[in-house]
Amino acid sequence: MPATGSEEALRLEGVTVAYGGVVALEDVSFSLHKGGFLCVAGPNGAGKTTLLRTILGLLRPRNGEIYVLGEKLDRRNAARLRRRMGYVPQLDRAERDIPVLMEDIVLMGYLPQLRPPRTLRKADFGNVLELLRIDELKGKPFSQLSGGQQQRVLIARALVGDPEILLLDEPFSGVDPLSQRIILEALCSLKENGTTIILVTHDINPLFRVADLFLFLKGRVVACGGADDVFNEETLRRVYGANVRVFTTDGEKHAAIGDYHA
Amino acid sequence: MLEAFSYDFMQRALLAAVFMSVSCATISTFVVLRGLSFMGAGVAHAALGGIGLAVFIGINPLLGALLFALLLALVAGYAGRKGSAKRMDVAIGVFFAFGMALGVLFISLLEEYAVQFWALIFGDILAVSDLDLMLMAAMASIVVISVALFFREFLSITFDFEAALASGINATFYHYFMLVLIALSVVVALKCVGVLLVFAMLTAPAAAAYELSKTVRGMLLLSVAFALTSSISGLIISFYVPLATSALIVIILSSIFFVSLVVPSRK
Repeated sequence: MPATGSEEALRLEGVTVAYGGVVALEDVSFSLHKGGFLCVAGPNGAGKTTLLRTILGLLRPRNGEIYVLGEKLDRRNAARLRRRMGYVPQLDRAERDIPVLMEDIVLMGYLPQLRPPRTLRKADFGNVLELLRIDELKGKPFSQLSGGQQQRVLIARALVGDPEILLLDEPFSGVDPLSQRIILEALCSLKENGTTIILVTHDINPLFRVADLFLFLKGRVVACGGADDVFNEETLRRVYGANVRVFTTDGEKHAAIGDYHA
Repeated sequence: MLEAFSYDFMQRALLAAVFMSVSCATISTFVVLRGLSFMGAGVAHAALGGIGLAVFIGINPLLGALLFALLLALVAGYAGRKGSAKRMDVAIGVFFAFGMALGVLFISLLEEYAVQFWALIFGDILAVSDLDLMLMAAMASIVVISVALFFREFLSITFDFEAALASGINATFYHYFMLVLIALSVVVALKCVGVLLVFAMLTAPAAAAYELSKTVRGMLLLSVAFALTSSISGLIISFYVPLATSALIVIILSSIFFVSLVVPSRK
């Protein structure tokens, strides 16, 4: 699989992951350079979330090796390497009914760096709140925010620790178009500043111009490459099945997967 | 009202009520938010086995209760170490029955000591000894200081266990730690309200506070206020009216919860 750039942020070599005997990911290999943007896509059950959890060291592969920021990931260094990564899980994983203010959730991102006793000031947010345009939401309970606002708060939580690699699991799921645009702009800005981004999504269309590398999974790697190499009907059919069409409008490619009307 | 507290046994009971209210209400915030109510019931019933063992070998029953409560916390914590409440519930259920069975076994073996069991099954706050008070003070202090120090860590694993783990926090350690604090709180409350009613102390204060609070900090403070109000007023009423103190405390606390359900929420 192609490696782009010289300095690697991440490399997987023949990684196989199984849950209780059932193989979720098989023989996955790819690499990503520092500051790169990887879009991971595939149908439900393709192993996308499993891939993120394996990179974070939350799951141990049955076979294969993972190198994160130049270090081989193992049991001993997993927690330390996780502190250099930011993770945004799927929104529905969070207990959204807990009475907690937006800023208290963002401040959770500092916890791995600061041990008690500690004082956390609101000024410690840096420019993260402005980047995700949630500064005006200070003082509001998380449960009262829209899905898009909640997603931006969770991304801010992952960013306050200044991660070198940011991993996002379906960040556009249940998110309004405005929030989706704000998140995309924030990710582009982070990429410009050298943050490596790995984003799992069902909807690859918004990422056509943004991601450097597309990894299509279906239990194993079906295709991996730049947008021009893999954004075509033949590849997408191999990933999603027969109901795939790729349209070009104003020079931009769009994929209609599963629900288009011919 | 002050007359009630001129007696030595009432002063000790007041201190016991404060220790119980502060420790149970503090940790009950996380019991309610993490859906660990069954853990409280399980620890209390499992503790009965420890009480039986302690009476059998002739040590303070609270020490036996503490041993079994901690054992259950560790077993339940192991079963739910990946954040699975369902697996925890099963482990608690089995240990719950195991502890009760041991307790019943010891009661049948030691009939002459049955009064000690009954004091811990239904609570006897008016008979708290100095040693009991010292043990309760130590355990309540551990609970309150731990929650004060690790409040944000506990909040983080409560909000999203996997994200906390992924961020590099030792979420599994804090998960076990929280269960140990629940076990300590149950033991603190055993002498006051007993095995059968301690469940209310671990759920009702925070459940009532949840209905009225905008933040977890506010919920925690309100929870402590509700527990203190119930336990102290229950104690005073039982001084003047010949009614069981533990039952009065739990009835007042439960009433606060029922009222909180109908009071317009500030959230």
